Amino acid sequence: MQETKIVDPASFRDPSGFVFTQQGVLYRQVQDSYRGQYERLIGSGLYKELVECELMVAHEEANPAPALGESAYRILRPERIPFLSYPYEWSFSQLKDAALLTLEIQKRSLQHGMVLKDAAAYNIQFLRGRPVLIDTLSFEHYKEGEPWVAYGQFCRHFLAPLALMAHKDIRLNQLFRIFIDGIPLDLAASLLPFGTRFKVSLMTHIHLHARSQKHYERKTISRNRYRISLYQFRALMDSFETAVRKLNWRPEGTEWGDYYECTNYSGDSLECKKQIVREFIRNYRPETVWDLGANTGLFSRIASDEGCYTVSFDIDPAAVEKNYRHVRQSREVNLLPLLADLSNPSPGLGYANRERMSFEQRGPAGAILALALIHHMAISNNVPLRKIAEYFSTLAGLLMIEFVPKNDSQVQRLLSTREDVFPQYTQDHFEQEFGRFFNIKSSVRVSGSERTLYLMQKR
Amino acid sequence: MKPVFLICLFLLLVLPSHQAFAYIDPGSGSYVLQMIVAAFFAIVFTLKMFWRSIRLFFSRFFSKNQDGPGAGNENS
Repeated sequence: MQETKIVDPASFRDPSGFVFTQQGVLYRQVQDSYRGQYERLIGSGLYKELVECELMVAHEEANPAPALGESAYRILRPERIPFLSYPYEWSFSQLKDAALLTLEIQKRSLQHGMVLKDAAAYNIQFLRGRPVLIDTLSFEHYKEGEPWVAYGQFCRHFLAPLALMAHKDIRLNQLFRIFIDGIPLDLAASLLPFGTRFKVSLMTHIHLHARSQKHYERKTISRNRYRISLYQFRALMDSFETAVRKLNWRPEGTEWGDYYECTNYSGDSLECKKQIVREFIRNYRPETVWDLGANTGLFSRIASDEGCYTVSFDIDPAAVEKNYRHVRQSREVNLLPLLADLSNPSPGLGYANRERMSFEQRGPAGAILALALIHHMAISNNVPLRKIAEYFSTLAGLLMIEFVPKNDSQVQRLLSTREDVFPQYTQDHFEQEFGRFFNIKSSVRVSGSERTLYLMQKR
Repeated sequence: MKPVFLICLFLLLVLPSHQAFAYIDPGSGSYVLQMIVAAFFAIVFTLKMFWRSIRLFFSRFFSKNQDGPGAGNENS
């Protein structure tokens, strides 16, 4: 009996090949039409160089090959990415590093007579703390004189969002959620401050580019007439690199960026909480941990240091940025900081809503950490405790959750500007509602505070 | 930066007009602009490389003059 092969719903645009899974193993089929390019990628040493420098995901050629259809040339078994993430979930530096990686790969490709045929941010994922290219079929032969086909795509996927985040508002990477093929340049040009017209790279690659697109909107051109030399091509890539490197954003002045510095936790409470979390992780050793409301990743690191692959979610771009910089600086391999608003988590996006997975689809995790989070969901966002419990039970089998009672100063702060319409926000009711979906294994009062940490297992 | 803006705008405006066909090619604007900006950045790149080599020459020249015997040896 032939095993079922499931083609990845995001893998249909490029006729060179596609990704599928069989019995939980991920494969990439290279079609016969891509044979020449694939042979060049391997034969020129480009693939080896990119993998050795950790710029691209490695693969093995599958043998025997579970091919789909008659036109398969090779079946590859790529290394799995532990958690797929998308540019609307990345901090500024994550997107910037992804842009610089794309340009670095482009430079090295040119040295081997190849060029990137696309420049989508979705081709980049984070593996062992660093961005890597996952699309093995992104390369084609470089033909002297031909402009870069992905020029517009690079501007929409990298330069425009980075410029908007740096010069206008850090939250504008959320436009990726609406525009699946990158931010339209006319929109970027209209949102960017007037002063960006006096920055050469932004003026040319975004403002003039948007005008040129408008000018040629309903015209077609004879592409053979437009040629650029290899030297000009390299100069163009250099201009991109200079532009991207000059774009910066400093994480400060947001709500949570300085949380641990400003919080009223005593040193003992924090230490007690760390100890409880560490014991939980050591006892259960979950393969993956999702730390929800992770701030800059203080507790995520307890899990990742114990060898659990940990995704550290927070709503605050400054906290995620600080967390990512820490990962990069300390070369942490088990931690992935991402942006997530739990009151509106990433939905399924793209064609048929199936190209980009929703937050929930990427689960379940082995365990969830939900520390100092419940009051934000229940009080700031008016989500009933039962709904929180039900949702968390779909995300993981194990849950470590902190109950923050009404008399806690942080809850008092949330209630100070609004009417208390939460008579059921009590510890008893919390236990009752979570008890519907989880078995409460243990609970420990955090010393020096009114808070309690619960360990729960899904029913 | 104003002259740069004017040069690019000029190049954009003086491009030959093309035949219009019945379908839309959303990449045409990017294609045409790329050719213009690539030519422009090739000049910038050349100047940058030239300036870099001048700076390198002088930095080497001065560091040679300043270096006495044993200079640059961190362990000395």
